[in-house]
Amino acid sequence: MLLEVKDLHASIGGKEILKGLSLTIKAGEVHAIMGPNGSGKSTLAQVLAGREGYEITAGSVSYNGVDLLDLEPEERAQAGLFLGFQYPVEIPGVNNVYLLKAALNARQKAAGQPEIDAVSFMRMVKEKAALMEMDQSFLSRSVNEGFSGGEKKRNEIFQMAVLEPTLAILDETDSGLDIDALKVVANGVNLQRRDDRSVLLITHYQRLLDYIEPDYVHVLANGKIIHSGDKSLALQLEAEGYDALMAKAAG
Amino acid sequence: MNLDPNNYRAALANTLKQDADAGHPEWLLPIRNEALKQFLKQGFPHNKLENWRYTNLAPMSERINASVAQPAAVSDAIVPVTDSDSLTLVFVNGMFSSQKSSRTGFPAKGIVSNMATQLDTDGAEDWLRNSGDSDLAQLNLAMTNDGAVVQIPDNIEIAQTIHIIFTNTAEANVFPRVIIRLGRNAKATVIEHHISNAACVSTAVTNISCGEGSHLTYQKLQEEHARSFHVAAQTIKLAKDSHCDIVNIDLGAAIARNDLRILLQGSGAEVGVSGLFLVDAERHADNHLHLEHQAANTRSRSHYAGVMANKGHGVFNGMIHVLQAAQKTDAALNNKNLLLTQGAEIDTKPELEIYADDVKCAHGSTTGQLDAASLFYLRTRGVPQQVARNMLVQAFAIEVVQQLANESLREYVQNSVEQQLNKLGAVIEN
Repeated sequence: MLLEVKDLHASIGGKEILKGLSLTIKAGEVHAIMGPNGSGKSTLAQVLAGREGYEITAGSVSYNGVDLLDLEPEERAQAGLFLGFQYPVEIPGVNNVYLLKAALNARQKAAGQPEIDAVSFMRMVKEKAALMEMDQSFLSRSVNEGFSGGEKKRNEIFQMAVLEPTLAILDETDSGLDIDALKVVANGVNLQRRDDRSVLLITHYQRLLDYIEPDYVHVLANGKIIHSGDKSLALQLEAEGYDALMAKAAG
Repeated sequence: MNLDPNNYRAALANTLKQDADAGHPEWLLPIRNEALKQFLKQGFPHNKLENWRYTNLAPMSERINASVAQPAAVSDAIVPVTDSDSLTLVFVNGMFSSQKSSRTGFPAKGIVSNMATQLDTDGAEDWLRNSGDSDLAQLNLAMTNDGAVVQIPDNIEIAQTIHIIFTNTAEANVFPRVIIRLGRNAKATVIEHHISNAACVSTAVTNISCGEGSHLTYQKLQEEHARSFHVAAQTIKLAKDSHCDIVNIDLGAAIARNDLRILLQGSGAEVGVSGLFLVDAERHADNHLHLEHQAANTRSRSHYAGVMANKGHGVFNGMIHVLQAAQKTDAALNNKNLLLTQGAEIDTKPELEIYADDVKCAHGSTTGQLDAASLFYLRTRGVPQQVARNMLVQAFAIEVVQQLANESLREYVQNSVEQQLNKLGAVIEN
């Protein structure tokens, strides 16, 4: 078992957002979590990545057998967790390549491995940039500064490609993308699918799942997973809407 | 407050004896005497003066004593890296060291020299005249032993960087002086670098004039020993259509103070100023910037970035002063501060004083902490919290650092900043 979330309750500012969420992801699986606005999708992503400010009031999260909630955000990343942000942060003055190098070297250090040499690092980074159809000039620019919405999302998937996570949580990676950008981003994710890499897609729309085919689809509503199924569930949702399912769950 | 005039008289007597030994011209004696008289009349600046409200020089005044010039222990002196082809003038404990200096491949003699050996040339008297009324400039004038003189003739461009280094190895009182004169349409890049490995007291004066149409890049880097005092008065005069790019970086000294006065005297003159100061509990930095737009169509852009950690105290005072004749002035001044810990402090005051009616002037100041969202983003990539914090502080400083003239100096300053942040990191709480 790669990730096991059990009865997770999380609040922010005294307001409970996750109300007993459970989810299990095995190695190599692609899961999609769909749900209406305000259902707690992004909170789940933030809590798993270790954002401060959320209070975990009950439940547990086990990742590769360790208590994920005990780890600092950087320790989670060093252990192979990756969060693709819904709204990637612009960080003027911090260069893309510099960030990736610091990130990779921190992971190497945590694993007791030597730093990567500069030449093979640059070669690898350039290959991955080409994979994401990113211009080389992006590499030396400040992180996300002045990037368009599509460029920011592409940069997230590019970072994922460089960091080679074991579990990638992609929070609304499709939002704000036109169809061409969506294809590039989805293709970037598909190229990274592996038996030892799991993906958790968080999305509002079924559209993304046309391009990245999940093994499982879950419906998140009001802080809980109310329904799980295979990829056909996404199509059902698209046709019937969330309301029908939520009514069914409530009934 | 140590204002016993006898202390200064003894120190001056020492300087005068050195003048006599060195065979310095006779006009120097009355200048020094007059300067000391002026200084004693004013006394050491104190906190009751508005300009010195936040900076207390009492500990410094106690260390000004008769032991002005120490023999130079040249071999101990730190000489920071310079570009291999730059022209380097090195002063050890206030005295020129030809051994440490390098003028390899420099095109013309007489353009760059040390003051003490040139006092018999025409116009030397002018180097020892103060143009500012800065509080400690008179003390410098009374005591200064040596300094750098850069005189670029009309229509001459010096491609090499002129790197002036004042390096101190002893607990000495030093009075460095830098004179820069650019002729019409002359062009040069000058770096003034203060560094020490002992607790020294440095009272520095820099006088610069930019001739018509000239272009000067002037960058001052201060990284004195942590128990040093560094008080600098810089005056820069810009003639018609001249252009000056200034960088002022403070990374060292227990107390650092810069009084930078920029006088835009000719129409079309332009100046850009970038400043950076980094302080912690042991260090205090005070930057006073005074921009005087005296002529029409003059332009200034100023940006100062301050980083305060661990109860460190920074001071910024920036004034844009537009005289009545200076119509069509275009001036903007901005001070950004980063407070890294509880208890860190910045006193910032951007000011405008405008007597012309057709001008474009803006000033502002912002103070904040590291951005939590950026910090989280970096950490989710695996970057440890402390490294992520340092990355963000360096990103904050980079706007100023990237103004530095050459690659090796940029790297040098980046490393200095990083080292300081690493040292701070151990004591910064989350």
